[in-house]
Amino acid sequence: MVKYLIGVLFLIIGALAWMYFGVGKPKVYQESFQLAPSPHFYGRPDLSVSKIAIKAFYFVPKNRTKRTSSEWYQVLEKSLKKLVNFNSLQLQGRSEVVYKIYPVPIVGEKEGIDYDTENTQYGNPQALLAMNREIKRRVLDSAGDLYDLDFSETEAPYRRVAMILYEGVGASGTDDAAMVSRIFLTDPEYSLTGATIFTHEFYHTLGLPDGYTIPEAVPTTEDIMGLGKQRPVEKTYIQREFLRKLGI
Amino acid sequence: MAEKIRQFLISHFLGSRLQLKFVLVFIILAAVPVFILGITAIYLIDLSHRRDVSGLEMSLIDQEVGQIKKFLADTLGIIELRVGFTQKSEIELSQQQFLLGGLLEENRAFEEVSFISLEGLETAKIIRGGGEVELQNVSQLPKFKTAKDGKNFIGEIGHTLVGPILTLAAPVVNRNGDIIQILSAEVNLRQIVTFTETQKLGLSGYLILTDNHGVMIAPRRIGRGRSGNDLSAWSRVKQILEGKILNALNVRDRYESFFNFQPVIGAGRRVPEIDWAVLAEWPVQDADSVVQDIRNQVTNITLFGVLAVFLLAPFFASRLLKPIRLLKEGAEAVENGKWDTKVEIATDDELQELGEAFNKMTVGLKRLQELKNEFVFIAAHELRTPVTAIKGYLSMIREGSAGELNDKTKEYLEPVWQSNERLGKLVDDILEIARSEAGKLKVEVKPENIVDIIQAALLQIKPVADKKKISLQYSPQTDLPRVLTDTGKLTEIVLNLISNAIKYNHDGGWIKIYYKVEPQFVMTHIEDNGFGMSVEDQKHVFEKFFRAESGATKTVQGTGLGLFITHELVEKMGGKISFKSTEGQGTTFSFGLPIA
Repeated sequence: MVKYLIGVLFLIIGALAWMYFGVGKPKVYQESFQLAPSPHFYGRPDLSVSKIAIKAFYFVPKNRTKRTSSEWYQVLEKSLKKLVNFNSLQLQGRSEVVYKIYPVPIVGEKEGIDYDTENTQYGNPQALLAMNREIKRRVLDSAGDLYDLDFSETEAPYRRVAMILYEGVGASGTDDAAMVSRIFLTDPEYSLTGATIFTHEFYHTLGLPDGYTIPEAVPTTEDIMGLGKQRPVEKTYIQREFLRKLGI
Repeated sequence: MAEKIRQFLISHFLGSRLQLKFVLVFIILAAVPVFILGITAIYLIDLSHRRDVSGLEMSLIDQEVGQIKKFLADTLGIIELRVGFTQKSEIELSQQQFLLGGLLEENRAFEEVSFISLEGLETAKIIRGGGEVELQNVSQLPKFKTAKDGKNFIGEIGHTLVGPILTLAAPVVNRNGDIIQILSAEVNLRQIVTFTETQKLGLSGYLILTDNHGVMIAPRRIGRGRSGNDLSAWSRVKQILEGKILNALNVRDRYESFFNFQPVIGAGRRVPEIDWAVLAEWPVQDADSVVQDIRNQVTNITLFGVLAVFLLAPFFASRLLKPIRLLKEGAEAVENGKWDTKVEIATDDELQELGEAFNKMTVGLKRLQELKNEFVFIAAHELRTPVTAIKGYLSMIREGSAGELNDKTKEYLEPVWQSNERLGKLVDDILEIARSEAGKLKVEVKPENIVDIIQAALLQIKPVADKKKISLQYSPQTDLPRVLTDTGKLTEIVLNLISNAIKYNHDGGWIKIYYKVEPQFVMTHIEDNGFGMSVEDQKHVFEKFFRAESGATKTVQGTGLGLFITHELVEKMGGKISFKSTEGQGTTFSFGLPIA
């Protein structure tokens, strides 16, 4: 009989334990969802763009020094700040952008025509390539005449991007550099869209393509790479398809 | 303490098998319903609560869906422009500018509005807060193509610094229903975001809104989530976008939130037509706070109920068994000769009737015993006269009063003499027992010197011992305290014990008589090196008519009443008696008499 009593005691203790820890206690499932990993270069998951260091310059060909803008630093910094905010929103805070502005205009070794060449169509990419080469050689290379240790070096794992305010014409971007004409940031005609164009060109450095046809320039997307390039940067965005290809 | 617990368990649980059975039945009968009630209550409360939570979440989601649909319907209604003329020509440019200005003025959600020609060229465009804008060819954009086909266009949501923006476009039709232009608008969804953010479930529940791609629109920030996060890979969002309604009733609707890592109860559904997803998450701690309190109370009450059953069951069982125990004790008392035993059972039921019947039975038994004792007493008394007479005549015959006896006659007469002696002894014993049981045995104790009495008894029995060459070793002590005893009865006790020690001993054996003084008693020990008793015989040694009849004791003659009478006499004198025996080695009887 004693063993029955002990058995009943165990059953009751078990029932109590079940009541306390089982009945009516919510079971919580683990959701396996996670956001996509860090953003990367457009279509290239192996190339992280989670940290970007912008080196910003005001580039003046040697024959245009008389046209040098006095407000270049302010407008450049303003546009960079807008870019940082825009990027933070679009890439959901997963891409950190820091910038440094070279404190004085870079006076080019050549004249304007040498950078622009005879063809300045499609944003004057020739000038960008030439200026980028010269900046790398003169500013970013330790042997360059304008090399400045504090400015020129880029800490790992930041990805270096050159943003050039050009005392000339055009707006274009490549994988590691972009340039916009100083006109876009200072001329009242572009007061609404100047920073948007600056930002648009920056995204070429992350690999984003244009959202319009070439050479007709008919927008094919509504975002900053297309029609949205004509809106204030505060009111434009990067479309979902591009973001996905950036790993967002 | 442990001993007390053990005693408690023994007395309340393990005391008797019947009590244990009662306790078990009580526990099972009382605890099982308590458990069933407790578990059922918790289950039903939980079920009802889950439905309530589901109802609240779905209601809030429906409210959100309603707001979104209304917002879109209102906004689309504004840009679904119908002009008052019938021509297929475009609206005049100045009119277009005027209309666009009015639209921006009227609706704060519009960030940009534009007219588009059927060729896909923007003909007029105004951006809120903006200046001059460059008109574009938008013929490649889906908004133009869709609206040109006569359908309203609801585009992708873009996340801008001024809030999520949605592109809407609708055809402009003339009075005949001909499409003459397209009206496009960039609509700020700030209003929906704000509405979503202000919706609350309880203290901390919230809503999440995603677009048809699973990209979060609102709230702007929640935990580690922020507007623009792509949630399309999240199974819950995926299910909702596929059209499934998550109603918070499924077991998987309780999960750890991606946003703040806390357990939540989730629900969700798709917004019809635009296929956005609305999700609700209500932290379990908040949603279940009341029901968990109730659950804890029910669980505690159940626990206390079960504990009460455990504590009360032994007492109830004990109370139920009390009449049975009284009957058992009464029966044992009757067994021990206490014929006037009565049991008092006042249960007002069959058990009380049983107690009354028991009492009547004891009265009957007592009467029967009295009759028996009377009969035995009378029979023994009547037998004593002829036995005494026979003894007298036999004595005279043996002494030669009836003439000289030859050897043959003497030889034949000896067994007759012995048998008569035994018969006489038997009659004396029966008479003594009958007197004792009838309460007529008189014992008059007074302070006496035990040594003198025992010495006299030894002298009396010494010839018998000598016959078997048994040495009586007596160590009298002069400083023994006086004891309360009846001289005659003490002599009878000593003779009984020593004669037994002689009878159940080998020829040439020994008997030692010695004393020990205890605080209240003077103990007399009579030790022999005789046959001893088996363990089984020892259990019955003071019983009436019991005789050990194994091995060497088979031939010893006796009535089996001596030790019974000895036991009775010692107890009647307020003393105590005990023995130790080892078969084949001997026995020691010890009796103690109270010190005077």
